[in-house]
Amino acid sequence: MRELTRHGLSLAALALAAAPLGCVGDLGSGPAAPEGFECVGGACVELAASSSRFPRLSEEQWENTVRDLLRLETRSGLTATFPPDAPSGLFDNNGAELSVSGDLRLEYQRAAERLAEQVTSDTAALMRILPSGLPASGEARVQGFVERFGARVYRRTLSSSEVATYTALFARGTELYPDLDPFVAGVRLSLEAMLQSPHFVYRAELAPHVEGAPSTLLTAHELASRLSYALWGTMPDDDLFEAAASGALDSSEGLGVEVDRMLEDPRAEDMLVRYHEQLLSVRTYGDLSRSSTLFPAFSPEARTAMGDEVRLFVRDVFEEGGGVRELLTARYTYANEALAEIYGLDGVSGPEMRRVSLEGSRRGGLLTMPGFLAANSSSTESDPIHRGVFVNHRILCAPLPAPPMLVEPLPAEDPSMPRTMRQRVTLHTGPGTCGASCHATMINPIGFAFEQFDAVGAFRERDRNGLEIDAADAYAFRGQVRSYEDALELSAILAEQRMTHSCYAEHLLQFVHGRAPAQSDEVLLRRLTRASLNDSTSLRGLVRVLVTSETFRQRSTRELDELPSLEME
Amino acid sequence: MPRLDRRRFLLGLGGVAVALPFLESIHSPPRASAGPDRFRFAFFVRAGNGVAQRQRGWVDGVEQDIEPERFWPRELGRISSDSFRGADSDRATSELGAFADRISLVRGVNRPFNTPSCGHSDSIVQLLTSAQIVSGSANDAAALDKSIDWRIAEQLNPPGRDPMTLMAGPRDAYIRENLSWRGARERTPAERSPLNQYMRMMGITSAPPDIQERVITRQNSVNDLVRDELQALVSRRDLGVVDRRRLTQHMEAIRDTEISLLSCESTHADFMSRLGEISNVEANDVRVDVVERHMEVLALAAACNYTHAGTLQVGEGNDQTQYQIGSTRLPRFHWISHRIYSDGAEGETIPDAATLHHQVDRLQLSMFRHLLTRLDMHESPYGGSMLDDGVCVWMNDLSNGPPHGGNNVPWILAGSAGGRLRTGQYVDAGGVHYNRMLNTIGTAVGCTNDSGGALEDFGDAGLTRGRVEALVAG
Repeated sequence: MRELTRHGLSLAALALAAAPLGCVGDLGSGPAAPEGFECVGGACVELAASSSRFPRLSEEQWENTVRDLLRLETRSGLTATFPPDAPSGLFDNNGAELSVSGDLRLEYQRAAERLAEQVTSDTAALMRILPSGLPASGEARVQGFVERFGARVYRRTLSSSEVATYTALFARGTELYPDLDPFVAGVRLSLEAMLQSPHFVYRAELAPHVEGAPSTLLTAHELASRLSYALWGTMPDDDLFEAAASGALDSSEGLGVEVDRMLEDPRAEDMLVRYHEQLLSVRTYGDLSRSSTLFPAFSPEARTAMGDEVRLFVRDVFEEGGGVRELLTARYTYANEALAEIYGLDGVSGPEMRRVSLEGSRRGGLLTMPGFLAANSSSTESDPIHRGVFVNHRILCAPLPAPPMLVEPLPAEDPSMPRTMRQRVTLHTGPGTCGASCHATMINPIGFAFEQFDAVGAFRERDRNGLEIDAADAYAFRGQVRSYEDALELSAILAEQRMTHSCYAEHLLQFVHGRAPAQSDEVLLRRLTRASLNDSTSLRGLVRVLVTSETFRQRSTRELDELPSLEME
Repeated sequence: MPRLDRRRFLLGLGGVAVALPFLESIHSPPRASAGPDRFRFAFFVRAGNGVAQRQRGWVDGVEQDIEPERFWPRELGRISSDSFRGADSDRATSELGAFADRISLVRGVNRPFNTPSCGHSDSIVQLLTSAQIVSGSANDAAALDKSIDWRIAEQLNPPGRDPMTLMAGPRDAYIRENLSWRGARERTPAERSPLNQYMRMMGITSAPPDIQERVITRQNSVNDLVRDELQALVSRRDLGVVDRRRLTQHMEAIRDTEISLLSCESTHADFMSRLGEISNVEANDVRVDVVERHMEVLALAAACNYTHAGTLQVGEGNDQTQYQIGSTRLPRFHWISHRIYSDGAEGETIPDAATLHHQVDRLQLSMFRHLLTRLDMHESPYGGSMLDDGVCVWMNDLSNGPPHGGNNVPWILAGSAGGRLRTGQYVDAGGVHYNRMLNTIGTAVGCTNDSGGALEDFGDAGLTRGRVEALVAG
């Protein structure tokens, strides 16, 4: 199944929305199965998208998994020397894109040896990883360790041949670590191997294909792993292993109970924060620089606070049961003294971030936060084009064509004839220019709404030349034109658009499922969009929809394929 | 001449030999290298954002120079140290004047495929692949075939030894590493830390021999187990092509270990200490230092016969480094290349930005000179210096500043790859695509086609095949 680009999927969604559909729910009735469904004898089921059966753990997942497997208090930090995961797409957890190079294999080896030494050199650390009730000595002790600790490493029950292999390796510990207690030596050698095993490094999904079937149900342990990596970014905990072993995950009710438990865990909140960090490119805030002459308030502390603001705000929305609307319109945020200076807030002192009200201001939600505004500005001026492009891409998933290569720079400001940034951009890219098709209709109308915020995100009514800012404009949301006076109004309109909610759903699926969206996700995405738009489902609820869906419990039997290529110059 | 298993590598003026305790693969015998046994290598250093070369454009209906030539020498043909000290001293390439007779400056090289999305993203992925691409902005662009460093490593390195992939730049960037591709859509992660790369290369250090033997036995026992597990997975009949390929690559990356020579002398610690002096290798202010330390590791890799191929990406895809020229910290290089204080099309004009771009070009080439100097410090056992054993390539993924064009992209080759490349010249390749340069370089270091002849078919099959004859020694 070919992966869809964001634009391709949006267009597909449009086409699908316009077509008469059949089978279930509000999809109407018709003779053919819609894309993403398989219909047999009148009953239709959602189809799983093609995905790798061996998604490799990302650096983040590896660190978390090692911490939890070895019951360490903190993450090991050993990935600091790993070759960084190759970038791919918007999110860092697309396991199908992550491979094991020669260098990474060496790092796995070094890390496994260090961790094995660390754990077996410390009696307390060793005791923490030993399964409870292990026989005191003899072969049963060894076999018990291999079977039960191995099951946590492999995230499933080991086969008898795997147990035999590790038991044999365990026995060689005495020879290879002659100075250690034989049991400790065996544990150390086994750990070295287990931490390099493909069953540890990859999240293997080995349930065999059913001949001719488009998809295969995951085993309970595979589903448990999918859940834990989707919701926590780490291996299953003991309760989840137990649920898998007991068959509790086999029913929708049992799955729902586990999902609800997991979503209450702080690690789920951490996962949602990571999602928004990557969606909004928050990590780039740390690299912002501004003209110190023009923006003396822009300090390293303010830069750090911009990222912290987003993280704390997202946590709040998640904890308080908010959804996409709250993300875009909430009239509060977090600030410390450095950030309050940009906000123009009085009474906020010191480095500690605290919740502050935005009532009475022209701000609300993520898009009026200084981080987004500053990250999409130059060092001296606001940048309506980049702000407009970002919102079109990341918030609306609008089908924006690629920019031409030969972009004429914006003409320099003419001191004899001061113009606002809006006037300059309009002259350069607005109606009647060669950039009119995209800029005038899609980019500029969004970008201009943020013109009341300067290059660090501070509010202004006039620019540096004393000219009044005009932030009013109009945008056609799937053909329906909506007007707004400024960014606050635009945010409120965005929060009610199907485009916004479907775009959020698409990105969330990409992150939670750890793969690129595909055409077969169409039905699930529509369900998710409806939940967010019509039912104001919370962020927690949206994630729940994703991980309790039929497609999440299945693996497609179709092969991932290649993408098309380009013309020669 | 017999191939040396190792050489002694002198580090700096006060340097003493670093013995070479790296681990060799014995899992399966290395494939025979083509041609004589001389150890040849190709290192690729990539800069971004184009260079400050002549630009033509229309002003008031008249075509004229918008920016003057500041990069290339004035005349095609022979180049010399004298000419770079004299008439061409105002050109950025004069930074390599001391090596004039050992380099080839090559203009007339074009990017093969158009760039419908972001020019930076779409261009860098073609540089060493000359392959068709999946177009995209940021890190979405991808090459649809392997890059030449992988081609060289797969044919000439011991099995399982990847090309060395290095980068000086931040992990979190709009466009990160995109230079080296193991295969279609498989970009190679780049190591940011010279120390990490060095440690990986050196492997077991100075443990007593009995301990070393035990370590090796232990590691190989574990390797056997992991390899068997991977083999069992790869053998499954219900596995898809993509997953099978990934697992096979993982399996091939497992190398058994032996100790070729183990006696680290004091400079091992000194070199490690030197590499470890930089605490945050991703920071802007140490960018040049990190580039140079990476180059020292590359030079060591050549001296140790460790790898036949390596890449070094300087800066992100759209290099945002704020370089220091004298006491002045410049605006971000990407902004300079746009001539405005912005990554986009609007922003205040940077005064005299083209001159600043030229200064950055000079700095970039002086960094490249550091690699050449390192290699040239040491005699080759085959005569000449280590620089003569291989070829070091400096290139940019764009041709120039504001247009960010794909024609006349600058390439500079240093070293003759053991007499197989012509040097001491400034040539016009005549509008060839990258593949012809890559064929030339690949063949020079010993790569062959399937028939054992010169490599002439690297890159996309739709491109004109062959090498650049002006670069091939007669």
